[in-house]
Amino acid sequence: MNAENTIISLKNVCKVFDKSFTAVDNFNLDIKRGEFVTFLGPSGCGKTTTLRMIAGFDMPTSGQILLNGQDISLIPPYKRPINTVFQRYALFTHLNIYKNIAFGLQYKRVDDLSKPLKDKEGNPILGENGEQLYAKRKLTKDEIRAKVKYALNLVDLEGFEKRAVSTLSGGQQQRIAIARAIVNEPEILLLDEPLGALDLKMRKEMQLELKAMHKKLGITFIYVTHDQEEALTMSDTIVVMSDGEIQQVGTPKEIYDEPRNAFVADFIGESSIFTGTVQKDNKIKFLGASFDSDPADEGKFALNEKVDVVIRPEDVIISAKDKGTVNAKIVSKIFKGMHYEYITMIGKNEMIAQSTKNFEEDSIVGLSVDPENIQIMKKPFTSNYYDGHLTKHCHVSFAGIHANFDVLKLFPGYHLSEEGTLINDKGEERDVEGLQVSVEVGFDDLELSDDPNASDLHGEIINMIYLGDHYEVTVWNQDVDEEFIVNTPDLWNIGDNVSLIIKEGGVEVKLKGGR
Amino acid sequence: MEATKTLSRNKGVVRETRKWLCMPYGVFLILFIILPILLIFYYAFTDARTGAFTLGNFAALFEGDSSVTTFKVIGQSLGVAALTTVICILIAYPIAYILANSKWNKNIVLVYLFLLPMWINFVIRTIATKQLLIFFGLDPALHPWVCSIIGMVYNYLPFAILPLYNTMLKLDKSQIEAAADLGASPVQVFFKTIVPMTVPGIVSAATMTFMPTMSSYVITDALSGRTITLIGGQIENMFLNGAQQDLASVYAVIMLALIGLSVVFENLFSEKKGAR
Repeated sequence: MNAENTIISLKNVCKVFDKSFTAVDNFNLDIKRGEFVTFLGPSGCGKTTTLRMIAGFDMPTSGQILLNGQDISLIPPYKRPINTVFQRYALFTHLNIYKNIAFGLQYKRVDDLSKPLKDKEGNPILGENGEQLYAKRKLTKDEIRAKVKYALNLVDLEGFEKRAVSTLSGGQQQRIAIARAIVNEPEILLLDEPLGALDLKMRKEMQLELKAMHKKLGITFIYVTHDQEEALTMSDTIVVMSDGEIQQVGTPKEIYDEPRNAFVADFIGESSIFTGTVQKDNKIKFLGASFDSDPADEGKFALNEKVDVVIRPEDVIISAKDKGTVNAKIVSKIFKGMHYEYITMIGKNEMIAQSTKNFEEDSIVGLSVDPENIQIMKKPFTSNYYDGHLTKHCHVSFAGIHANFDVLKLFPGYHLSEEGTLINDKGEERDVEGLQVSVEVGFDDLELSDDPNASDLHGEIINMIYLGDHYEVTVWNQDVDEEFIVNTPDLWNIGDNVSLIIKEGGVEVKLKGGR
Repeated sequence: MEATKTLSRNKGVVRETRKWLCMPYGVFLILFIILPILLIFYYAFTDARTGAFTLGNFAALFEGDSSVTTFKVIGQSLGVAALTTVICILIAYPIAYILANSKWNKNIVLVYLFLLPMWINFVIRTIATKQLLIFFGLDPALHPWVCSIIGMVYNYLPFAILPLYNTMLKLDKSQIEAAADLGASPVQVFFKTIVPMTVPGIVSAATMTFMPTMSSYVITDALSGRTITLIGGQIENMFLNGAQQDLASVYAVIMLALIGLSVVFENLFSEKKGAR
């Protein structure tokens, strides 16, 4: 990136609270002058903490924040040319509107053009770039009045100078908070979920107004929100965050169309996420069927590699039974105005689909997806991944077997009753049967045995690679057509029939997002 | 229909009986507040011998030589009360700020440390203070003002801390951050946002210390070697030395007026705050 154009850059910024909780982890980002950047993520993802570090309310535990190339990470907030619009407005209740907006201006110092700085001999004192330096002066009362008037004009609240904060509606207070920040002409304007407390209609209106304001003022905006639609509407660049880390940086279109991982895909817009296996001839297998995949993805993945497959509901094509790639049963149908939203089941897997065509509930339809709309994302090649579901007694069912796992980790606050159902402290039962999950079994969490009674899981060894200190063995189960990759120190033969034993605690289960 | 009627009748009965519940308070109010006040006014405005209406009692206090004593007593009362109030707030303000900030006060132990002296009997506390001051070389007989003020501040400091502590617990932190964000240095932040936001606490801390100090006399009696006489002390003197109830009542009326004035002041401030 052109350094000249970068206004602020965060380098390896970390923030640890109370020596144990990592709120922001190794954050690296360059923001261009005049850009509208949005930090997007669920609550607790570290987006507000990052913003507070840019504002100066929190100091990074390590790392640097460079503003125009200078490290400002330890400079207190009042010395930074950055202003913030707070989530709850934070207007001064003891001051009227005029004094609220003028608050920052009373501390502002500008060049006094009538007093050029001179040294003892009367020679002008020049700045780094050879420009004349001037003494600083406060703004005059008239200047402040003019600026306040301009700011009020900008937020459409002319004539509100004398009003008390308490007489304003939420939307008006929000506008005043924006005016109070931009009147200082900051280099960067930070907005911390500024529209969160407004009603939907007001929010949509303010989104467009903020966007227009950004265009008009040319100030760099850094916006924090958990509302993906807001982010897509307003931003030039979206930074998707989760667990204190950047998941993806890109334009709204890139983030929506080319999510880099399952988290981004799930968080931005609705989507169905499956575990797929890369096959020959640029095909990908998921939902028990073989789909043509995007020609652009050809060669990016290894044969038989397990990948995340993301399908947007609007990309699913519904047709008559047996006309699609897979058959599915429509289990729910909701009219959404512009279209119908269907929840379809393919076996035990759920796929959300949108269509303007009307299909009956409980009917069997065919589903297909255009190759370029199948988003494939890498998974780390250390574990087997399967789509599964939970059974009534809190076991997980995947790849044709039932397995035990630590169900309490998935539902904090619950414990197991004597019948094996989930109960919380209030005695409320939670029905988990049929919940969609993704299952991860590490290559190291599986063991091979030649005793056919050692487990319920059997298969034939179809591939074996020696990796220096161990073998990577691929076992194929014919009944469910699933593959298991196992790390083993022992030498086996291709074609052997083996039992697969899952080690204690080897099954990692995650709930799928959405419904 | 019949059922609802019964119900409403029952409700009426309940309301009737509830009315009687406030009777004890009414009796208390009349016996211990209204009646004494009426008595004070009666004594203040009537002649002790004839019982006829007169303003002579006021004249006796504010005419000639006796007016010097009267103004001295009232002046000393106001002076001690004002000094104590100002010093109490100056000391209590930073203490309350520290107590209200969870960074420094992780459990409420510190708060109790400041409130604990209130659990000890007032008179014992004052006598102990006197001995302590003498131990440190401050003889009340030689430094009546310094010792009185020290005793007053020590006794009424908790009354100043509590209301301030309560307002500071509810401080809007985001307004403080906003001020810093808009370019105010820490000192400017303090005077431009924290102080205005705590005005209600300051006003009630002031009333909580000003009103009781003005009327107290035990502390000044013990710690000034009886050289400083406040209104309360003067009333005591007049009752004990020669049963001058009428003159004592005039003092009581004056004190009522002063306390009434300070209440008016407090309301003025809180009204201003409400209008904002």
